[in-house]
Amino acid sequence: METLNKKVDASPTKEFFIYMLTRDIDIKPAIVELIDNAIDGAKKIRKNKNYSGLFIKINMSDHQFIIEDNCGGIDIETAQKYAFKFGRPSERQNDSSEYFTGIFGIGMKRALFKLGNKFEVISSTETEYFDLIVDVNEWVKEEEWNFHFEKAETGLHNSQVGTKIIVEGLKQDISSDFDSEYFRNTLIDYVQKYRTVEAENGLTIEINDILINTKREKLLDSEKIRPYTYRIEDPKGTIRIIAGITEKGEPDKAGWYVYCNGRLVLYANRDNLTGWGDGTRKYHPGLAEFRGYVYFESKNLLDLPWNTTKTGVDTSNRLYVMAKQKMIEAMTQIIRVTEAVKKRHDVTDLKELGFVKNTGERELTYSSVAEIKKNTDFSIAEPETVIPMTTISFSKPTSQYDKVKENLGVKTKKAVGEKLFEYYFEMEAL
Amino acid sequence: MAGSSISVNYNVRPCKSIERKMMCEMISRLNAFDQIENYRYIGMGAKYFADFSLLHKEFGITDMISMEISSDENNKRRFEFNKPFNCINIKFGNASDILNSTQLRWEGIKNIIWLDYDGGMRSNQFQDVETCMAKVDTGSVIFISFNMDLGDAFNKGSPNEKLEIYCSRIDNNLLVELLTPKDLVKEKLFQTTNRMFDIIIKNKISIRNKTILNEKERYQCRQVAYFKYKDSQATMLTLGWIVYNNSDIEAFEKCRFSDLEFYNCTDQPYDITVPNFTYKELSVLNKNMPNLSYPIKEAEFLHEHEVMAYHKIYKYYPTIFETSIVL
Repeated sequence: METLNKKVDASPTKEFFIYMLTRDIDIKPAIVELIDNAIDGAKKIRKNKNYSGLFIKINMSDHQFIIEDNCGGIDIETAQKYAFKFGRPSERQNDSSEYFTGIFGIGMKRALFKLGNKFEVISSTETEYFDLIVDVNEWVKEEEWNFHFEKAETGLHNSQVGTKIIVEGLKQDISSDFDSEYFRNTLIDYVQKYRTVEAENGLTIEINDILINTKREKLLDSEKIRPYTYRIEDPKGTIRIIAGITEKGEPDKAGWYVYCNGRLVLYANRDNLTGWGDGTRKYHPGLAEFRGYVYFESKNLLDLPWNTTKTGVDTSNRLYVMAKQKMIEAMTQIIRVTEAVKKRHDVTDLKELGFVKNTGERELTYSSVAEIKKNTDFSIAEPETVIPMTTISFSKPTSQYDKVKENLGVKTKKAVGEKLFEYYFEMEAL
Repeated sequence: MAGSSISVNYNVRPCKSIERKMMCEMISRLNAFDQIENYRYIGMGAKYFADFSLLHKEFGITDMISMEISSDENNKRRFEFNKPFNCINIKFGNASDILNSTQLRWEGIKNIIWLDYDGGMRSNQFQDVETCMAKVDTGSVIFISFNMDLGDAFNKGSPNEKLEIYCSRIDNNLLVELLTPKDLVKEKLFQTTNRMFDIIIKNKISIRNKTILNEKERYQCRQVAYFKYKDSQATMLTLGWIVYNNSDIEAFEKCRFSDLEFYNCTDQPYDITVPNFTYKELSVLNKNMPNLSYPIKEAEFLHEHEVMAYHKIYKYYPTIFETSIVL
């Protein structure tokens, strides 16, 4: 009998990374992965979480994609050992100095493979500099897995630190997307949704020279309307939940928002992933005011309930199971209370009620969420409040006044004054 | 020029009549792609069918579809009765349903489409243009007209209210993503509206191209017309585009649209204004066209701006005979 070689080949192929894994991520989340990488850099260099002066700039056209930041750069050792390695080596898994988002060791490479066939990474730290060029079509033919620096220097005194990634040889469909203004709008919208936390602390993100405004989520919060809040401290991480209603019942935005270390992984979810129809009622359009936010934080990134593309949750994750029970509790309270108020006042929309319309709002910023310490129940009380007012008066030539009045289409001086004030206030976006 | 007593229709809408003739001149250039009689015309004829008559008589187009929303039996009979030629096929229903129907054939047919809406700007108009962009064959042109009056609530609204009304008319959050109240100030409104169409069309063409394997068969779209006029209270806008594939670039260039005075690929509308002249003045003016030198000797009293405005449109200036009798 002949003894055969007992080895069975289970080694990965380059094609697996280039053509297979890239199928699991859409182009917009892939770009957000690159933004995440830059933000992790910002977290490293600004432990105090004040990111002012830091930027991430994306420029895309039909032939090129560039992402550039000044968020610290990648040092040569990190580049050689970790940044370009496929998958995160176990000795690196315990980098728990900050609440990072880079965890699986696949985001940047997958994103670059997704976009094009050739990429260049140029990075400067205070003392080091490297330039790395990869032609994917050439690399795939080579036996070895290494990339090579074009240039690598140390012992420098760089005043500008940061990373610039240039992708060329864009895939055809991606090239036409990058050429489309409509796609640019969808990308801006996507980045606004998925990246909010760091931006509010001064980090700016630009896409083709357009500054991304962070859309801040708001919940009604006042003496009369209290959101549901809950905080769980667990050895594996912190969970903060805040849920309630908004003044504007945009139905597309109703639902649960789930964040892991500041990164949104679930947007306006209304199915049983977040407990709808699973312990509570199913979502229906009458609940358009509902908004719920769950913030998971952990320095041990593998304990967080995100999937590898960071576009969904791992429902079997322990922290998520804990949170979901509280999310169901929050929904039950909010549905019951709002429906009771609607019934009492015989309205279908809460904003028809004056005391709801004029109530205060809470902006969900990084710090306001961090402040959630107490557990509170959702409630609506109904007294009237008075907003402090100021009266102004001034004189203008009657001929001008008449023209303005005519143009505004109102009858009284008071109305003219109010409209003028409103015009200035809204036009200047105060 | 015929006598003046039978003035009927054109007196009400002289600018529209001029616009129609300008469009006709544009269409005449399509013969670089194919004999124009081989084109199909899809329009919204209502009961006057002025555009249908013009295109049938001028170019001999016989494949004609008029989309007619009114489907009340009595009206149906009335529209059929008013049909000037039997080659016009009236399809009753809304434009969106007709254009999206699997029963309407598109392959191998070059189209001239004029979506001439009665009402103000609405999201369905954007969608109908998108539908056409996704379906038309190379060498086709698409025009859309609508009125830009957004109502009293818009005119008298605060900047934010204006923005909200405008965005709700378009009803596509991603399209209006970056708009601010400043985009809707006065004349800026026309630029912005043009931009909205431009973005949505480029996107549609780009998506369509993703499905086409052969580079030569991928499409391009160029804006050729952007008119603005006021026949009544409402401001009307007309936008027009030509769609052609990469193997027809030469044909497109042969059309030489840019030679036409009213060709417009910009986001600023071409204003059609009709100065008021008496017939006596008109005949003097015409004698001084096209090589005009101002002031005109026989009529020095005419203002320069009126004369210049007339110079732009004299070839298309409506004469009663042409527009009042649709037979």
